[in-house]
Amino acid sequence: MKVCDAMLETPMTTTPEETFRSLLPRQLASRQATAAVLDPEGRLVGVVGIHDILRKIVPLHVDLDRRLMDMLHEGYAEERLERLKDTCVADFMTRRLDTVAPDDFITKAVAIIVKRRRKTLPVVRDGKFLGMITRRSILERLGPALL
Amino acid sequence: MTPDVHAAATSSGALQYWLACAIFAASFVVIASEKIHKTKVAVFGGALVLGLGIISQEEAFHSIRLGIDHSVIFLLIGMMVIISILGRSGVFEWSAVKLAKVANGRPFPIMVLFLLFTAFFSALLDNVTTVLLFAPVTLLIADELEIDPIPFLIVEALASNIGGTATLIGDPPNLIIASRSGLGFMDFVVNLGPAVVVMLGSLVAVTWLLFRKRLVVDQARRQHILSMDESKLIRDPVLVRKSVGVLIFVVLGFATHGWTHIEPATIALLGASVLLLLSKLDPGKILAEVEWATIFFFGGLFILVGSVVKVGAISDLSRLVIDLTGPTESSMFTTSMVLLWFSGIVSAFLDNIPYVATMAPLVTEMAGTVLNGGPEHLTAEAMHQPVLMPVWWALALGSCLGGNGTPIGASANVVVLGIAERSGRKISFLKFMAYGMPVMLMTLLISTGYLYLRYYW
Repeated sequence: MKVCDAMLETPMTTTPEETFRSLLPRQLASRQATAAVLDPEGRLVGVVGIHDILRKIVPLHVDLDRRLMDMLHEGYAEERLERLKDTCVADFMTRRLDTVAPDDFITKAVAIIVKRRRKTLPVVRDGKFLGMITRRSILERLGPALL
Repeated sequence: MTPDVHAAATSSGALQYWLACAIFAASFVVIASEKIHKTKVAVFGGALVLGLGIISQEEAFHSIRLGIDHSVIFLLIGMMVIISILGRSGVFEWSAVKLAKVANGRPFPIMVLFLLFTAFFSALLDNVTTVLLFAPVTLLIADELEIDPIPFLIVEALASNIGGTATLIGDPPNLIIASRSGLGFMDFVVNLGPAVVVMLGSLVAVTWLLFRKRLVVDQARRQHILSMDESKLIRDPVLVRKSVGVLIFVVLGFATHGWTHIEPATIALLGASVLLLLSKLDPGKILAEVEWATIFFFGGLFILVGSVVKVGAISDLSRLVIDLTGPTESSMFTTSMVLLWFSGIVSAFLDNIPYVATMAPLVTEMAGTVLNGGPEHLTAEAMHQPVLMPVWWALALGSCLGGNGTPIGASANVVVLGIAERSGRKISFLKFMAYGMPVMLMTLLISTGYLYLRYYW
């Protein structure tokens, strides 16, 4: 089986300029954990997921010194989200990407997902974004073969 | 020796002289360019002078004058182990939050207390560690008060470089000076401490002028600070007691060196090993946190400097300094002043560790020539003659305080810039200099007045 056989062809996409305020409701409604970030030519420049959004809530000082997480006041996360609402996707997307090609064997995608603890992998040919392969889409295709 | 053999020996000596100078100069240039990591350059340079036979392995590993200064190396390792365990205890974070609460959550008093606290701990621990431990809490406090953390971070870096000047263990240049001169912990505290106190007072005055009006917050924000429960920062109170206790004993050990004659490196190693025994922590993990790159940098550097000392280049340079500044058996005033300002300016742009590693033997050679009639007649007593003391203090003050001039002048500055950038508030080279350079000039002026009033008036 190849990657193109298990690929979501209508995944959620966004642009580097979209604000956090506009992205979050779309992401929650789409029920997709990760959105592909595309430039105007349709090239993949990053991905942004729920994890990236949650990471922005955690301040740098807690990143540097985990002990300080006990010092944050009640309501900190809400205040932080409020402050982030006009932040652009470019500021919190993941830029270093693992990608697969549509003709790659599905095993390669599984190996990357497992080894690199990814939930989704963008499918790219010559820099052009084609779709997304997810843990669920892989199992939905592989599962029937087992049963 | 026949004429032929003598000529051959002389030409081989000249070749070694120029080879050593070339390798030394090239290493300095590459270290200053930051194109290759300084540890790689120093270790390669050291290995090269060894490999070419400019300095023998015996000299490199066992000679105090020409080789690796093991008292500096083991003092560094010992203190790094103690700091690593102390850092895990949470005592720094606890103290910082406590101070913010003592200041009643008001930003300017917090800034002053953090400044003084950073300076105090930088005098006992290395500056980078102090800044690394304080920066996250500073970001927390600024975040909770919704104020810009950058002035706090810059002031802490400046205070850390000033505070580190006060003691033998506060800044690596002082370690090298202490080892070369035989001066003890209390010599540094008594001779540099008063100047550092004046400098810190001046820094507080400068921050008052610059920041007091910008640092205003409402009561609700201050309440966030006052409602913090700092006791949650201490997860292992037993480790706090053990590590703070050992640190106090180590500092007392340094302070009483004049009576006990136990060397600082021995005290640091005793402290480190006792704390390792008491802490129940995995020694592998603790030793992995020793900054081995810094240790090897020192090792390579000592061999490199040893090679130019051995071939006589440092003696030649010291004669040049003597010709230019005219030190005599009764006064070395011009030498002190030139050394203070030259060291300050050089250290603002170059790493002060290789600079002092080169200058310290230069001062000892100069002292030997002026006080004992030749560098080869240098005695330990000459190192402690009152006339030479201000020269050592000028070197220490200049090389430590010069680091405040630019972002690359001191490691603490580099760390602060890195943290500021990660927090999304980049401090440009010029922005740091706008604060750092005036503070550097102010502290060098204070040093000039201090040296003059205390030793030459």
